[in-house]
Amino acid sequence: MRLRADRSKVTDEDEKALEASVRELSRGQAETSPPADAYWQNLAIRINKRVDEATSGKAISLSWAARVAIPGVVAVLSFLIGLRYYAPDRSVTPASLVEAASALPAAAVDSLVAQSLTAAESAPDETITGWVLAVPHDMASDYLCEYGGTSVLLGDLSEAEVKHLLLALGSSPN
Amino acid sequence: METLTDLELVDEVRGGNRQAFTELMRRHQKKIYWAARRMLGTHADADDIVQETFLKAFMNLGEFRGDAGFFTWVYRIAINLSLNALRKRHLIDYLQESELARKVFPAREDPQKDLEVKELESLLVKAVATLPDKQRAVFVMRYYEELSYEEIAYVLKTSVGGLKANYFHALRKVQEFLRHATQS
Repeated sequence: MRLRADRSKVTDEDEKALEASVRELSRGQAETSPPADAYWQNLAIRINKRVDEATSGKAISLSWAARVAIPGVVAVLSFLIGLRYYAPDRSVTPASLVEAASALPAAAVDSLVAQSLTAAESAPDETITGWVLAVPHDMASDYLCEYGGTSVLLGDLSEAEVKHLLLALGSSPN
Repeated sequence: METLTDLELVDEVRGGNRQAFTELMRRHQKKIYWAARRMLGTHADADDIVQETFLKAFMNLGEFRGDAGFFTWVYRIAINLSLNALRKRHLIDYLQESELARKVFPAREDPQKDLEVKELESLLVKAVATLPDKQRAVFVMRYYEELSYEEIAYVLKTSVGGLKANYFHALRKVQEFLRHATQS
């Protein structure tokens, strides 16, 4: 607000009076020391040298390198490094489950087996029935002797399962 | 060469005559130097600005339309480079004074700064150094170079309106500084 008020008041006379006062106050002061004559003679030579450097082929090629080539090379290298270390390598086929399991240390395999047994113990009966296909012979014999229904069972079994079952019961398939 | 006008010399330079550019430098280097030195205070800074100014002028001569004189055009480059240098200096001063900078860069002697203080031998130069950047530029152009407000407006890319008040405020601050300094 003060600035605006002052601006409107400033006249040429005010300015000249103030300027004269400053010139009066600064009169007799040591003036800033000027450079030596040799400086002026060499100045144009130095500037011309800089102009030559800036317009020479070397400077242009450096400039081109700085603006295009170097950032370009950096970009390509970054892309390749990213491709190598961060993108999945599709050329390698995934290992089979058997290979993966066989590559595991023995202790790890034991641990996995123990875990699966624990899971089986705590699982519901119907789940276990779905999982466990190989029934022990004596258990199968007991079951069939107790409940009968052999013909119904045989109708649902395959040829191999029938043979297996009859063997368990101590009979010949024929 | 010496008989040609600035505009004729510019045409010669555009035609590939480097001697003409040397003649242009010879004509205007002192005024450019002193403008930069009064803005920045030291010979080293002024030397940098003069070199940068003429280099930039040569490289951008195609942009010179001739609507202002060659000197005014080059002068504008020099003042703008000086203002940029002042801004950088303020930034460096600010960073050096910041808490973080004190932790990262422990206090040390700065011979360049000492040199600068020694170079500010004139009270008037010291007074000008206290002015804000724009006022400093206006003061240098008006007080020392006696440029018209229209020329200053062209150099600073601003309207004539505020320049008169700007100069008046600068004069008052300088007068205050000088009075105080001479009394003490």
